[in-house]
Amino acid sequence: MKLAEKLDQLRQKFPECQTLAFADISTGMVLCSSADKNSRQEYLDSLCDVAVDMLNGDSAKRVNDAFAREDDAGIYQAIIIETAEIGVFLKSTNNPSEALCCVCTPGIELEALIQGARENLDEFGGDP
Amino acid sequence: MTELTTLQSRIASLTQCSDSVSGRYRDLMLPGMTDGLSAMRLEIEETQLLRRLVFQNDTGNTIGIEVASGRVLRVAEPITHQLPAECADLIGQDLLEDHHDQISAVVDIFRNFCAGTETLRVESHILAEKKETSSVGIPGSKLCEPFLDLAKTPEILSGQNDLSVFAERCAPSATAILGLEGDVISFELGPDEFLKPLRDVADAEQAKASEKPGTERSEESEPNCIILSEHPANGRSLLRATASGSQVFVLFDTTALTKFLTFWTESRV
Repeated sequence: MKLAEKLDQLRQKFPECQTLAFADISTGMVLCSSADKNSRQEYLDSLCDVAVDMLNGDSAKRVNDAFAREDDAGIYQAIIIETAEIGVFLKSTNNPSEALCCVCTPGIELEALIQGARENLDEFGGDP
Repeated sequence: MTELTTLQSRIASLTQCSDSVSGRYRDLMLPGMTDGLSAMRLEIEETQLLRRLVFQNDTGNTIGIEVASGRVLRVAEPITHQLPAECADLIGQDLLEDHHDQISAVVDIFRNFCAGTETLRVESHILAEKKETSSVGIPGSKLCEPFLDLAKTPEILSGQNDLSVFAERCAPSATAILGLEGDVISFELGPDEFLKPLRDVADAEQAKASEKPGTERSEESEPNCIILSEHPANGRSLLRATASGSQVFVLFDTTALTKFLTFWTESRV
């Protein structure tokens, strides 16, 4: 199954998920996306920028310092809850340059989404 | 932490009040203390536990306030001193930030109350579990109070801001929790080893926010909650909730994520 089909399949499992984007956060590029309506490239780019900041950027560094891990393990998951939508950003544990960006409506079951998305993300790499 | 000189003056005060009995006032105008306002503020600033302080000036007027950790929580009975209409502005003000414009009302009221005062007395009631116990002078057990900061449970100021309910629910399950009202830390709870990095993150976030143009900062007034988690195998998360100029930072074990998500959702309803 191609990556695009995997994203579609994951989004069908979680209808509250409006946009899914698979990104390379080392280069800041969205490699593949699935959405309930066509997303402008600018929107996907801004989504990727948030993922980079939360998982690899200044925000991640500040919080990682708070965890005070000697191995500087980094941030692997970010959740942003706003009134109208919820963003979930997951970094692959297999390849830390890969990340999945999810934008959902507030009705989403977050834990189920995170678990499902995490399982898929760690299998995604290699066939975009 | 109370300075040694302050502790010494308190010991002197205790000695002076050794014959005090419950319900009596003690004198705040100790040797070397010539300014009533300073004496009053020192008494409030030094108050760590939730207390009702009843001050009495030269003319027999009294003003009662409930305070905790240097912060005025509310005006309390008895009050014979005429308070201006803005006395509601006293609530939640932090005397430790008296250089800031926001507490000018507090300073004005207290300055007026202490004007020309040569004697100033205070009666302190420790408020615990809705029961009042009168305390005159400084109980012996309180002498070691300045050295027990880490063992205390700081008051989370109920109803003071939009995030109070959320913070109160988070506190028992958190590794450490810190609240900010504007730029000022309003409460913190947890071991210092975890509080320090939380303070660092809060400082960094404040610095980052101050770099943004005004329009972007105003957009942040919409309530939001951000949770960053480390590698699933390690399992710690840091939550930052923002609403109406208040912020709460919570360090917690990621296994409790669902609980904190529920706290946030329910506090928004």
